[in-house]
Amino acid sequence: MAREIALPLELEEEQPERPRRPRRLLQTARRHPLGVFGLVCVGLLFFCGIFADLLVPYDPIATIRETRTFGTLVEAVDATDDRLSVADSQVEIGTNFNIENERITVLTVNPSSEGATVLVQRGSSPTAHPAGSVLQLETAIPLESPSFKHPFGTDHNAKDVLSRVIFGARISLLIGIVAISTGVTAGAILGVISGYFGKIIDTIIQRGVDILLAFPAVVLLLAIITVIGDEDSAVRKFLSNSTPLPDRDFIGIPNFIDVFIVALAIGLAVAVFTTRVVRGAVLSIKENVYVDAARAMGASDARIMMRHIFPNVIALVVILGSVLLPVAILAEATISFLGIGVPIPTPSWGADLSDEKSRSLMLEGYWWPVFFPGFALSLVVLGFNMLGDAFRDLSDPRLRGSGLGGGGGSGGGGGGGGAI
Amino acid sequence: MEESNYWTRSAHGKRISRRALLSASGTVALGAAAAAVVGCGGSNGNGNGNGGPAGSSAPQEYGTPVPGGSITQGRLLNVLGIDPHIDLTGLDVVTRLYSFLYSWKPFEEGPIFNNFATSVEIPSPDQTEFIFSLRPGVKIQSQADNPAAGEELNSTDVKESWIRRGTAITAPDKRFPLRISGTNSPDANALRAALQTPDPLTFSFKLSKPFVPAFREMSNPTWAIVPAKVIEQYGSSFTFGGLGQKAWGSGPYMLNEFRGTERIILKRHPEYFLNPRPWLDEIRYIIITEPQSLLAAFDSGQHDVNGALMNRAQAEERMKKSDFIVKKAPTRFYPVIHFKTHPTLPYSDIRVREAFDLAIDRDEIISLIWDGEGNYNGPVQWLMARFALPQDELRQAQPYDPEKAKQLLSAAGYEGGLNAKMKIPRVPGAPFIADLASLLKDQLSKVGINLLLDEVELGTFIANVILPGNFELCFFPNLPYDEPDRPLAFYHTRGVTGVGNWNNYTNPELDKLIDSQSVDFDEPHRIETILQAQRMILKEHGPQITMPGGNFYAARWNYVHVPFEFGVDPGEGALSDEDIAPESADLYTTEET
Amino acid sequence: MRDYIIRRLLILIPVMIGVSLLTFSLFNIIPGDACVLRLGFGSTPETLADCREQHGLNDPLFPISINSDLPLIHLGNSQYGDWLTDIIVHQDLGQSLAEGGAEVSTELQRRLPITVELMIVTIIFALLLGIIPGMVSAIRPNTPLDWATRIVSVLWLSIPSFYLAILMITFGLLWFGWTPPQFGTGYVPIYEDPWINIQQFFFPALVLSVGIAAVIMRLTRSAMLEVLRNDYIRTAWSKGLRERTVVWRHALKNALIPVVTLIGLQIGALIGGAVIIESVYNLNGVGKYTLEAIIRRDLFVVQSLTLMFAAVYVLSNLMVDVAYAWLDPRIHYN
Repeated sequence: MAREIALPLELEEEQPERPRRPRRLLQTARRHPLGVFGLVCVGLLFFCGIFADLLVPYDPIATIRETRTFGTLVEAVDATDDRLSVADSQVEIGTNFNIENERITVLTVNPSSEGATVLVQRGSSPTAHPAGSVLQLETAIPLESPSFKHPFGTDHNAKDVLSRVIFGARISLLIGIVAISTGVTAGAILGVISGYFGKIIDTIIQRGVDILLAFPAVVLLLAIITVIGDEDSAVRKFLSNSTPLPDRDFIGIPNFIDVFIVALAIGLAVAVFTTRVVRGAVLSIKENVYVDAARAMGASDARIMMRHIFPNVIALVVILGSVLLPVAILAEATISFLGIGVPIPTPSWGADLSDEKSRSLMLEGYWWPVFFPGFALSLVVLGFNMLGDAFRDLSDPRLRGSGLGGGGGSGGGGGGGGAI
Repeated sequence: MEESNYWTRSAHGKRISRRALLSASGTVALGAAAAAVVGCGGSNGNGNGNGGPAGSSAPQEYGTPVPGGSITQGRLLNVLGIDPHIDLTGLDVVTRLYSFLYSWKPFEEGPIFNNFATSVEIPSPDQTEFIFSLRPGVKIQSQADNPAAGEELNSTDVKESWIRRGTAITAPDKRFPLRISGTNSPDANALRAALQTPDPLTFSFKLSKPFVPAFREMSNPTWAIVPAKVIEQYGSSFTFGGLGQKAWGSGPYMLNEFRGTERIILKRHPEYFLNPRPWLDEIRYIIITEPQSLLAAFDSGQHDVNGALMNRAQAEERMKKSDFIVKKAPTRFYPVIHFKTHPTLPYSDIRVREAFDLAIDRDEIISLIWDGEGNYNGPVQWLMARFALPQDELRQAQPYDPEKAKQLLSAAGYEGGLNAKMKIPRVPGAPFIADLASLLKDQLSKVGINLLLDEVELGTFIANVILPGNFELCFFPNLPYDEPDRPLAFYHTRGVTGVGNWNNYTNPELDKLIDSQSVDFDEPHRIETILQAQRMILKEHGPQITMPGGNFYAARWNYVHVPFEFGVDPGEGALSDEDIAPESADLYTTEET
Repeated sequence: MRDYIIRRLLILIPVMIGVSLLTFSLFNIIPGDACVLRLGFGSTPETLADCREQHGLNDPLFPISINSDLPLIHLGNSQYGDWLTDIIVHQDLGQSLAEGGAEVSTELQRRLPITVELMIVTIIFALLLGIIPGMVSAIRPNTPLDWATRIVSVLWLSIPSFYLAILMITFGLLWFGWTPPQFGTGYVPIYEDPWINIQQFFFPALVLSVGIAAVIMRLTRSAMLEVLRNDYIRTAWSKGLRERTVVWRHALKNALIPVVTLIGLQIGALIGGAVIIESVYNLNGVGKYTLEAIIRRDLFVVQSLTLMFAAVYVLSNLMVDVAYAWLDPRIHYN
């Protein structure tokens, strides 16, 4: 019967021959340029996050120093000489420089035929130095404007902004993924239990969710991070001692456990939201005929959950996770902006945006330390939004350009900057 | 002509007039709201001629004061309360509301009797007795709910204020009142018995033991004189609507409105004893807790005196504009690393401490954190001119030698490196703390010390980290004090709280030196003892090592006039010491409203 | 419907109690209390004990007693119990521990109008900036105007509000020499000086609104497109009605349904955003107050504020559901 009906329809529609896969992809890409842009942005996030170590031109938390030369020694000196003769002299009163490993301070400068004769204070372990020794010093270079050597410039602490932005991707990605994976998993489990068993368990869990959802997000996160992050907290001790997670210095992050704790706190908020969504889905799945059939056949609760409920929930959960990932990233940026997120000196985009001295210096025209991290953050959120739009277009053409899904997760993110 | 070299240019107290050192009404006091918090005591910023720009163009002439007008002052930090004996966040406001016995010339030896006291008699050389003669005609402000409205201040008011202050629970340093009462803990009755008021205009007391910082201490804003009747009616500490939120004093200004997180409005006290002063009709404080916003507001003229601490780049930008007057002042706090010298920790080993000391590049701290202008600090900060060690000695005692640091660490058994954890406070308005800690982490990593930073909220930091000594390493900007006794107390076995220093450090020889200087009234001899103590401490490389301090800049619009600028010799025809009114009564504005 | 509303309102009670219990517990686990923070360097064991005694911080926390004479749950003589009694019986929200005992209710009364005004102006801006471009976009689909609007809306959607605020303050000053007027004067209510008041709220509300405006725009556009394709619209066209009538009377009204529900759902996000924007623009509203109170461990203030936020959340959800049912007759609650 079905075939008979189908045939006339097929003839009516006259389907063209489907092109091969690569060409189809290209065609899809051309029809959704914004989606491609989004894909590139998200891809960039992942790329920078994963390969940060290879990509960063400088260490993101190290002070950038350049060697400055101040001249050369004309004559050799021994360990006790405190008068030096300097050629090509660029020394002034108070200049510090090194000859080899010895730190020397200039007390007076007298011009001479070769350049200058300087009276100096020698270092604490003075040694002899031959003629021709170079007077140099590794000098920190703060607030360099964007240049070839430092494409995004350096900030007031003499740290390379590009490296911090690239590494910030790693922090955002790490926190985002940990938050989403823990949150969505925990939320899904709770949601399934809540939806499947119903009655008292459901009521208890849902009231708990109500209470947590009613809390302003910032307050909740601040409280959780403060409680868990305290050095004596049970959670921290558990993470330190019983898990293989390193306390410090892992994948370039100095305070690893603290960063992890921030991710867990955001994950809690994610879990709360997920529970509610999954529970709703489970409620409708429960009504399905084949679940009833399975129960009639005597299958246990666990078996039903495993074979019928979970598989259906997983698809929903994956979508939810991908929608919430930018929200989690934005949440971390927001609380780091308020100063209650990742610890210093972790190169987080949010933290760099809130740096007091950087922001004050912006008023003097030093815009790059604040501009670029914020730009990266916006670009990431933008990318996810556009990618999400494109996926929705592809999966359901009727919703093309609607951006309906954008209202839930990322829309709130952009609007509130703190929407969870 | 003396050869101008590095040391003479940065040496202390050479050619600055005593008058110019006064800051009771100076620009810095105006602009130092934030500094006031990290420098509890508010109005005593100080400067001396450090090399570098001293400010914009020529010093502003004080000229002839013009009565009337209003000045708005920006503030970064909230004022939680203005009870002079209890709250520490609004002391710069307090100094304008109340009278004090006298003003003090910071880092010098003398009082200026331009306030309630006209003179003091100190009969014995060990300064255990003080007899103050008080000024008649100091009128108390007349508010509707002031039980002492319109009356004149007298010695009983001083006595009751001192009892209240001496027994106040928030007072950080109780040694002075304890010496008066002769007890080991605050005792109101003993204080009452010890303070004498033979007649309404004489106030005197004796100390149970000599105490060199006493004379300086009494001019501190926390010893404000509150009328006795006001204390009786409103003095209970934690009740709302009392002295924490309102003021009934006798100072040049009256409190008109207090909203500690938004704005504070002061109005002129029409019966102030130095009539026709104060010149201003009103002083307003506006509180903006975002530093960037505060600075932006100042630039666009929404307030007249800037409250945020500016760094050099910001200052120089504004110096270029003739609308602003920008003044430099040294930072009054000094950055310090505390070691816990407990035997189970690596820091009990002097080699480890010395390695830290050697691995810190103080010159880079000056150039990066303090924008190239700063001075080394010893155990007594450099600002305390004659009590501090000279810069050349400090430099020689605190060299930069990472190679030697590495050797010392090896010798101490840390060849593979040392994992250290340092707690630092998060202080709004003081971003240099985090920046400096970050820089230290970088510098120390070069010798194999892996420093982990743990940032803690300021309040929690004080209560949970510093006071209980709950740290291995911590970093703190030590509060300034104009008397060397207090910074030295950190190294004493008893510490500054009296219950023990929080570093677990004890050195009986050092204790003896510190104890002896606190009762030594022969100043040259005292100075020698203090220098000797510092040299001993420097050799110990602990329990605290100090780092250089720099400058900050305060700015105001050019229509705000102050009686003098510090760092600038006032020259001929300037106001003499005794002509200067206490705290801000001399301010005036020429802004057309 | 009425029963439905009543049932939903009844849920409010356990939620509020739960929220207050949670806040209370969290506060007592977080290190530091108001006394420690107020006393600062003056903290010694004696002074702390004294201060805590005065503020009642030494009393037992919860009104549950396991021993002896007292009934199992009793409301007196415990911190939580006392607080609950004060609120329900005396309508007394308590006193601020940090600001020397200011009445919480007074402080809230002063600050609430600011946040409320911010919210209202934000929503107005969001509606204006969202609905109009959305409509325009839907009427002229796939034109350059449409594409431009959609791209701009995605941009607005993505820039975090605090970043936008920083950029605007910085470049406002650098390029135009202008800063928001509240920096100098403090809040001026609208009935006192409307012009200054509008200046004070204009930019903060603008920054907060752009994200929501973007979502509204997209929603309006898609909903209108959907509706415009519908049959009854085509019928109206064919009857010869003018375009404007078609658009205004039929399409827009139906398109507004999802917009209304969206606004209700966004109230949570608005509150979160308000905290930051209030700090950056120095508006002394409830959001800024919350942050400061938490940092100062001002327990009663935080308790009252979280209760307030919880109530707002629950009520706004309820209003959205009710409005939805009212606007779309096909929906019934039982």
